[in-house]
Amino acid sequence: MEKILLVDPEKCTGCRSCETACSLYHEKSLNPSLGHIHIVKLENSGLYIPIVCLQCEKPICEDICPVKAIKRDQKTGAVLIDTDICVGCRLCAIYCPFAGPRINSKNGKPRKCDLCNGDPVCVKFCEPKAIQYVDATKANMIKRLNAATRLSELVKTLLGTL
Amino acid sequence: MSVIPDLKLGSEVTQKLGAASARYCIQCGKCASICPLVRLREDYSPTEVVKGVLLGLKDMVLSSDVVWRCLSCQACTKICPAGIKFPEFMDALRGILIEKGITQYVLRCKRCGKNFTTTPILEFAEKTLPKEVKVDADYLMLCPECKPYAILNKSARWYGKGIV
Repeated sequence: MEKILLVDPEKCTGCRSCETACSLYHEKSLNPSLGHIHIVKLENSGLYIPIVCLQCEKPICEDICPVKAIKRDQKTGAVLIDTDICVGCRLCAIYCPFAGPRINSKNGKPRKCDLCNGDPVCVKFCEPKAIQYVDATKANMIKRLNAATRLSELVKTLLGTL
Repeated sequence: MSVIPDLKLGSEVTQKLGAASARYCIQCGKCASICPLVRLREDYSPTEVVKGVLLGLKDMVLSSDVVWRCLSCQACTKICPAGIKFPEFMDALRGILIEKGITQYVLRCKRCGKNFTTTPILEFAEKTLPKEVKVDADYLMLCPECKPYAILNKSARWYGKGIV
């Protein structure tokens, strides 16, 4: 069964262990800015939001790539950038609506999440369990449950004010 | 194309550090053989760009978008027998053109103001997209580094209030 990365921003504490682990696994250096996952810190609202590739069903990066370096791995379902073919034009990063591909600050080329061949390291290093690697159907259930509880709370507060 | 070359323009570019190596171009065409863009579009060749700049062909360099089509992938730099550093040459050339007031081809990030790409590249890229895909123009005005911040700042107002 296909598994996906489920991100829960409410649990994220902004420790950036996932970025560090990712950079060590993929780029062989302990540097959070080289990780393929990205923690966005919003100072005004006090939020930490992990940004990672969503492995879209019909990825726009696959369509826009001028050298066709982006292909889907049939085994894990991850959309991969072939580093030998990629020329570093960054069109995938410009066109992605979810900011999935991240620009590597060392060579200026876009790099994105490849799910670590079906065993993501960011999940192992995430202490508050903000990133989980679960079945797609289970992830869907969790999201629906969260939405339902939020909706019920909203209705309660709205009824309370009336 | 103007037949009277303006050598002043060429020397202006090659005086810049890094772009000086372009003077050694021998017009062998190896760069055009490896350029990924040449395979896709017939109206571009790095050899032509270097020639046009060194000779100072004004119609090509100043009034057309030919020099703004390069993706800066450095494939030609690796193969060039004369050792031309193409990205540095391109940067120097584009910098001089911006100084001259040719800014209609440059896309600046709305948030940080960085020149992150050019309009001819995006126009060409959009032609390769399937017809049913529609792109929001607002996304394209943000550089990849700023995009997550700009998108999330929009939705952060509703965050934790039961909607997002």
